[in-house]
Order: sequence, then structure tokens, then C-alpha cells
Amino acid sequence: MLLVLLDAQPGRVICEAGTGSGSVSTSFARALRPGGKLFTFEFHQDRQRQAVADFDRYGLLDTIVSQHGDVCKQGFANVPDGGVDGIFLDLPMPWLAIPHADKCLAHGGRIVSFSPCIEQIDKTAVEFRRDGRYYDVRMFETLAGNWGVRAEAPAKKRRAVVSSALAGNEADPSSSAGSAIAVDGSGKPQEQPTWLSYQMQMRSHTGYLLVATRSPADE
Amino acid sequence: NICAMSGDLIAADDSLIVRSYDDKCSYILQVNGEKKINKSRVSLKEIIGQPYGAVFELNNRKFVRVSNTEQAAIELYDADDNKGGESTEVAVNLDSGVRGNNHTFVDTNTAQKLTNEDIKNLKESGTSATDIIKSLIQNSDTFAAKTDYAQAKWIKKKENKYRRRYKVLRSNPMSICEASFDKNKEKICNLRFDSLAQIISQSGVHSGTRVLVMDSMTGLLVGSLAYRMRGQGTILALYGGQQPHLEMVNSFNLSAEEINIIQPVPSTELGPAARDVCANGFSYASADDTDAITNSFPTTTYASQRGSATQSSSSTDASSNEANAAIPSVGHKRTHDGITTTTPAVEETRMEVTSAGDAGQAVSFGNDTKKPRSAPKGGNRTGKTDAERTLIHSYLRQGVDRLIIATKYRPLPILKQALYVLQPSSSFVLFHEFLEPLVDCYLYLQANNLALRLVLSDTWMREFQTLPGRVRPDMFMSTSGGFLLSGIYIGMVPCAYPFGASAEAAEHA
Repeated sequence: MLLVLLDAQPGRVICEAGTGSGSVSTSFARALRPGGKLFTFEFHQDRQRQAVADFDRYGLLDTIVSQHGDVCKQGFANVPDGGVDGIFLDLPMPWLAIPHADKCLAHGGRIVSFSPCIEQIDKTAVEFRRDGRYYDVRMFETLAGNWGVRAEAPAKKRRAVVSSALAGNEADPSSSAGSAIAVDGSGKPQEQPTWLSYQMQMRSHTGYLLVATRSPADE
Repeated sequence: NICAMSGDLIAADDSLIVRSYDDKCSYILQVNGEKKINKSRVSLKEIIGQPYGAVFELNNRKFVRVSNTEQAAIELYDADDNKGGESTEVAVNLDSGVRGNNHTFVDTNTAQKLTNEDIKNLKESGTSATDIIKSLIQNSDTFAAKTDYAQAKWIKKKENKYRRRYKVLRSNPMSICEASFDKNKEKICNLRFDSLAQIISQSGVHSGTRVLVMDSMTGLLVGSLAYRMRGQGTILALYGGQQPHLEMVNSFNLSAEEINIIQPVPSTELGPAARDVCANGFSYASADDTDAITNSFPTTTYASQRGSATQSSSSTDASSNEANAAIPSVGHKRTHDGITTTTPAVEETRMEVTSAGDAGQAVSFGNDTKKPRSAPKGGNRTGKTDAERTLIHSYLRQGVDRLIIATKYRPLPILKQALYVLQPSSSFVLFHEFLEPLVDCYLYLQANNLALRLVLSDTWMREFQTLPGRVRPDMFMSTSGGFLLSGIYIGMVPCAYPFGASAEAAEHA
């Protein structure tokens, strides 16, 4: 979803703050190769060192430039002005980074900010809309829901074919499909069990995604 | 940086999205030539050289740019006014105090003194939208007592009605998918853009991969994949019936080189290739033969002049296939060929595509009114020559490392055959508008121990308006964007091809 919102593609330049575990960084790197660059910033020194070591191990250092720093205070260091096509922010106070983003984001570039709280979204959106520096300010909440499949035991002595839910995820179904469907009225056993699909327990919220596009340079 | 975005300006040969301000319609249009918006023909030539994101007003079938200050004001109320119905919210006015509210208003529909007849006369006499709105304001009982916010909202609504304003946006997978979804979601199998994002992400398609994809969305998915691969790798685009329907690929502003990696494959070719691989293993092309992949259908005059600039990438492709040849497959009795014995004749198979004439024009895919320049030879159903079929067969026999099936038909019959040409340890994603056809596939894969990490999922998505102090969900929300089944293919245990020729014919009937 991030890659589509940011319009990531080979050759593009994207900035990210903070790096965190580097899992999102890795995903960016794969989409930007060949020819693209990811500048990723992490304000926690040890985490940044660990991330660099990981990127090295995965052979991604040709695409990922990892730096230690606080983008809210220092901005996006060593990044060309107006040369960045996309910015991803996962910060507690992303509105502080927006003035720095103004400088390096190209006209038409996208910026995505991920925040768990509505108040953070509100403050950041106000920054985007100030002076019309960004257009198409939108916000999405998305949640992935997994489904399980389970065989319904026929009302017979014959045992149903067993199949539990997805490998590794044995959560209880939230609701079944109601009363058991009768197998055919005669004594004939059904060849195939009836399958019921159900929604599994899911994490209900991680954050909101706020996206905006950089307006043309102020005329 | 091959995708420089400095000065994001509209170019003469661009395909782009024009979104109307009542937000009910987004149009995917080509800049060149006249197009229809709201039933009238318009010319887009005036917008060339203007920046993307600009707002235009339609005047005498021509687009005139709206001033920046006006645009900024529009942006502020854009999300609010267009996402549904009258709202009763009292604005938190951040700058000045709230001047009034609506607790004394009684909605008797008599507030406006001008009748429909009067307004109609104003319009027909050529009064400008501004003047019409002024008249409406003068003749309204309630306007003066509204809050600043309510007044602006009211004006905004009238402006939408009497002024035709449009915003121009860049084409990319998200904007094209949204425009198609809003216009006619059945045509794209209910693929919402977050589901499209999931397909790309979970299949792991990226520059350099070889993907077998079946797309029933007139090319929305194939175009998005080509967009993310940018000329490196291979897309084998399966289609049922006589012709591929990939028209939407033309909306992605791809260069001929980037489109060249798309090879349409009739689904009838899948069975024979699957049988061949089952019997003889994958065949890995030698360095010479990789030319065939990059120089084949579709080409335009533009592409053929450029020659094979992408040869270096395709030889990387071949060498990684060679590496795979050394690793024995799990549980297989197949033997690996090594080098393919058939060398497709490239020259005869260069299929001629109807291009619009000029060099650099978008390539047309199927369903075109113009006939292809070379008449199809041979009596087969797909109208392909024997040489073309041999070429396609050789591509399939080389195997792919990603599989995506997103059709309106039941995917299981296709899946059963397609797995034979999928390299072990490859990712696959099946998309469908409904859950049940995917459950069938899930059960099949599980019963035959064909995959790991099988995940059946869908994405819930909700959009919010983000006006200052007024962040709330939109009033309307899409209830479904389709379902996904994804997993990692671990290889086939049975090595006898279970489908006879008659079974194939039945499946394709």
C-alpha cells in the first residue's frame, strides 16, 4: 500500500524516517531497483547501526543510504533539493518534518505519514494545507483481514475430512455460518464435506495513512 | 534517475486522469485529440505544459486554468463538500469566531426567491457563473445569517453546479485503478487500489522477475506490473478467447521498451507447455535466445529502431535460470534439459501491431478497429502462426518465478495448469471478486501439499476527510475490494501430467 501511495518504481528517490527495523526499507529498496535510491534516517544510534548491518547482509547498500539523524530538527541530510520523489514518515510528530520535506520533495512528489492517533493526523494535515504547498490531501485506514476455512462435520457417523484453519493460526472463528446444513436425506454419505469460511481474529488498528502531493514551486 | 519528476508538467502525448469537481467522475484521457467529458467534446491541448495538480475550468470546450489563490480555497473545502449529503456539523472555525449557527433555520425550501425558471433564463442568457451565484446570494433569505463556513460551503456547492471545474492528475496504478473503480467496478472485477497494491506486494513482482499473469481487467493489472518493472523482466499475459484485452496498458505512459516485456499468451498454449515441462523439465534459453524475449510482440516502429537495448538484463535473466538448473527440485523425477533444442525464428514472429501511426505513440492491444497488418496464418483458433506459437511455447517452458491469476472466471482450472510452469519456491497470488472460488483453490493446494504460507485475505479500507479540526470518515465507503489467496509454491509431487488433451479442451470450452 505504501509503495502504491508513494508511486514507487525503479529509478525513483525516496526518503524514509525513521528506519526502525528496516523491514519497510527493504520493501522500498526492492521496488526502487535498479537505479533508485532510498535515503533512510533513524534518530536512535544503535538501531541505525543495526539497520546498516542488516542492509549490508542483504546486499542492499547499493540502493539504501542509511543515516543517523533527527529529520524534524536537521531535515533530510545529504539529499538533493527538489530531487526526491517520495517521502515516508513514521514519526511521533511528523508535522515538524514537513517544512524540511518542502525543500527536497519535487513537484508532483508524494508524501505519506503514518500515525496511530487522529490528533497527529489533524496537525499534519493542517501543515500540508497551509499555503497550498500540497494538494490532494487524503487519509486512509486499512486493515488486512485473514480468512480461515473449516470443514463442517456431516451429521453422520462417518467422520468428516479434517482440515483446520490456516497453518499456524488456530484462532477461533468469530462466527460460524449458522446451523449445520443437512447432508442429503437418504443414508448416503456425502463425498465432500461442506466448507465454511470465516473471518479470523485480526488486529484492529495500527495507524492511519495520510498522503499528499507536492504542489508546483511557488510562483 | 530515469523518472525525473522536476517540473511535473503535462506533455503532449500523456495519458492522464481528469477528475471532475463533483467527484463523481474521473476520466482516463489522452491529451492528444478531442475527448468527451459530460457528453460534450473537449480539447485538452490547452493544458499542455501546465503542471499536474492544476485546476481548470471548462469554457467553450477549452480548459482554462484557475488562479492559484482560487485553487487553494477550493482545496480547503474539496474533501468535505464532495463526499456526500448535507451535514449538520457546526464548524470549528479556527480563525474567526463562529458567527452563527443553524438552530433557527426551518427548512421549508422557500429560502431562495429565484425560481428554477429564473435560473434557467439566467443560464441561457449567457450570464457568467459568478453572476448567477451573486444573484442567488442576493435572493436568498438565509444566506446572510449563515456562518462563514456555511457560506463558503454553499458557494462551493453552487460553483460546482454552475462552473465546470476539473483537476488534472498523473496516471499511475493508483489513479488509474481508482478512476476505473469509480466508473465501472465490474469491468475490473471489483479490484480496489489497495487490493491491487496487495497483489503486487505479495507476489513480489519487481524489476527483473518473470511473471505469468492472467488479467481480466482490460490490462489494469498487467499495466501496473509493467509500470513497476520498467522494461526489465518478462510478463507473460494469459488470456482466454481470441484476443488479449489489455487496452488499459496504454494509459500508463509506458515507453515502447517498457511495454515490450509484455507477451500475450493464449490460455490454450498453457496446457501443451505444462505437459511439456512435466515430461521434460524446464528448458533454459541460451544467451542467443534471450533476444527473443526482448524483441518480440508487441513492437512499434519506435521500438524496432531502438534495437535491443535491454539485452544485458535478459542475459542476467538467463544466467539466473542456469543457476536454478543446478538445484534439484523437491520430489521430482523430471530431468533438466539444460539448453533448449528449439530456436525460435525471431524475424518471422515479429508481430505487427496497430500503432496510431506516429513514432512513440502508445501501442494498442487487441480490440482495435484497425486490422493487424500481417494476416494470421495457419488454421488454429488463436490466429497465431506456428512460429509464434513455438516462441510462446518456449517462453512458457522456461518457467516463471511469479504467478498471478486475477480473473472473473473460476481460477482453479487455470491454477492447476499454471503451476507446472511455476518454478519451485515462487510466490503466487490469486485474486477474485468473491471468496468462494478462492476457497476451492485453497483446498486444492492444501490437499495436494503444493504450497506453504497459504493466506486467504481481504483488505478493509476507509477514507477520511482531513479538514482542519474536522477529521472524520467519509460518508460513503466501499464494502469490498476483492479477495486474495497468496502463498509460496513448493513444487509438484505427481509427475505425470494428469490432464489429457480432451480435458484441456473441455476446460477451455
